[in-house]
Amino acid sequence: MRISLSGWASNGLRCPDVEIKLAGKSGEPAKVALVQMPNGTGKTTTLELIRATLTGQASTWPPTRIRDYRRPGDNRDKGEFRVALLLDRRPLTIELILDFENGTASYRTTTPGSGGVVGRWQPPPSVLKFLTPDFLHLFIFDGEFADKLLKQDAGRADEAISALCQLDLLDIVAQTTESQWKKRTSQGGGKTAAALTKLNGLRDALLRRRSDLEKARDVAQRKIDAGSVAAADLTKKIADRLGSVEATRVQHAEAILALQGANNAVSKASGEVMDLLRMPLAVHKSFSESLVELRDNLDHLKLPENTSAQFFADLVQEPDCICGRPMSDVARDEILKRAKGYLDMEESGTINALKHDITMFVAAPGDEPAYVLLERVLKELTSARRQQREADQTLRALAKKLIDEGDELLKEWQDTLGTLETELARCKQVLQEINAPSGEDTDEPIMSMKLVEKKLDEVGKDIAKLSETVDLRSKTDIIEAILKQAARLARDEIRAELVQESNKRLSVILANDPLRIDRIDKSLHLANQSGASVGQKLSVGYTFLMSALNRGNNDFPLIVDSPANSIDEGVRRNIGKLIPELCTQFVGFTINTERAGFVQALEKVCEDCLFLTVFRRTEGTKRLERTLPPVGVTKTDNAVLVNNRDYFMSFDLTDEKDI
Amino acid sequence: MPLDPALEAALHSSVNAAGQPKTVAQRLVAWLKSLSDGEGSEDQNARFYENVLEAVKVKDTTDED
Repeated sequence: MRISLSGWASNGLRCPDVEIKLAGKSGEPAKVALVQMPNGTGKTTTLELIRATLTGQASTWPPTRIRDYRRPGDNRDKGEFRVALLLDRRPLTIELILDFENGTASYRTTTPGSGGVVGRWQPPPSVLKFLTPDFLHLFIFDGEFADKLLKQDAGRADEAISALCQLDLLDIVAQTTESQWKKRTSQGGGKTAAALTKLNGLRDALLRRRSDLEKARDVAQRKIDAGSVAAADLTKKIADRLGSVEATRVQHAEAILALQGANNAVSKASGEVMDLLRMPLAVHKSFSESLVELRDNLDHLKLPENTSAQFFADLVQEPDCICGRPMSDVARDEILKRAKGYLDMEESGTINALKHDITMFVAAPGDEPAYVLLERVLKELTSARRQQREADQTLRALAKKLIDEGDELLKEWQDTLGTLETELARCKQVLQEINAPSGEDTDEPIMSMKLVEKKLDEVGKDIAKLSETVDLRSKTDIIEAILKQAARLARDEIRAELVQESNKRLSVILANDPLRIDRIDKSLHLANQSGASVGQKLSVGYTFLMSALNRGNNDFPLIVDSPANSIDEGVRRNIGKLIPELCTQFVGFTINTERAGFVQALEKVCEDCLFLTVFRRTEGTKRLERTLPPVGVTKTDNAVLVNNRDYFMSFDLTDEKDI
Repeated sequence: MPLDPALEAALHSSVNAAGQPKTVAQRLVAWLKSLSDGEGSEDQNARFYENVLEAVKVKDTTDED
């Protein structure tokens, strides 16, 4: 971006009421403009107001500071200062209005073509980063800043490099990277690799548990399969034994018969109980009573109109009514008239279906209600189970009898069967636990395969989410490390190049002085000396800043307060020669004692020079008004502005009588 | 607007030293150029960030375990 200063205007302030236009021969801001303002004309005030106007900082000033800018003896309530810039040749005007009565500052920004006039400090976003107090120090340059460039704790040299060589852009990228990371992980949860390791450990444990449970299930199933066959074989052997021994044969046959009958009865009753338990009507009589009450309270005798109206229309066309009687005109009229009373909205179809279903499922008066049926079947099941146990006990008693009588083989079979049945029950219990629904998570080892699967699924999702977070952190760290390293490398390289370039210029400016820059870190370090004169500091500051400005890709005006003060004439000449080469626009606030050497050197290398002289109109300066040139003079109530090279060169406030 | 040559070179060098593909440097340079042109809205920055993030490769450490 190229920023040029077109001019400024002051009205009602401590500095003279004057409008400075920096237009050169081409109409664009002159490459070099020297504004000669004798001491006491408001040079420092003008520079302060240029800074305050461009940065918008005056809105934070206290009332006392604002009133400090009021011209003594002036009754006006307000003072205004206006700065005109060109941003890539597009005008931007910022006005600062100081209200002395209220002690407030306000702004007005004019951006033709994009936004017009707004009643606040609002420069375009693209220029905002350049209109900060720190940045303005770089192009509104004074001896104080030159001094700070050499002070170790001020860090101004590094700030200048960051701003002018765009290293501060790396900070913006780093800040965006970190803020995006925070934004994406603001939902909470683990964010670290340690948390991910923990989750992976949990997942491994669950996978091992699943594997163990699969093995346990296989073992249990194999045992059940094999044990069931062995148990059936033993049961058969025991039964054959009991059936073959004379003493138990008859009782055994009866008990077997009773057991078979009881088994059948238990099976039948169980099936019926299960069927009935699926019906709420059978579980409790309240269900059927409530349903009947609901049915009886629903609309009576209504048909959905959209599907049933046609029925009546067709019926009256029939020769006979649905009741069997011939269809007469009287019946036809009556049916059509009364049909409306039986037709209703579409919902009546659903209501009719509901009523029909309730009637179907609820027992008709006199029939056995479902809940009574369930009570009866449960009693039958209880009875069948009792018979089953009795038959089983009889069989066991018969076996015990034979064992007691010394049947060792039967005893062995019986013991083996007992052990086998215990093991089978245990295996079935294991299988039941493994195949159980997921259930509740407890501190006990997980037995349910479904619960293991569910937890695996959850931890898998957590790992996926955390992996993404950890991945994002790793990438963020990589980007930040790259930016940090790039900033270090770029800074080192730029510092080295700036030392070289600055020393090259210093060798021209200070041709008779061995002063050189040794290195740059936070500040500038001089070679072979710790201190420097004011002139030396100014020269070093110029060369450094000019080199940095020249290096950057943005063009700024270099506005300097007393550019040649405290510098001897030879050095002034050398600086003057270099200035036009190093910046696109140079504005210097001078006093007459700075002209020697400096102005001539500037004119030699730059054709587009503007020479302005400003002085206050007082009793003491009346004599100066008598010698004004015929053209290029602007007078206000309290100041005179002269745009004339010769007047500039000969201007001297000192009265001849004073010499 | 071009970046300072030293800054652009430093970015390429740092990306290379970090073992990252050239695309990362190219995308960072594009982002910085956009910022240099004054185009630094929150949305634009988020898009540039997304592009850079996509190009960054994270070393897979699971194979080493």
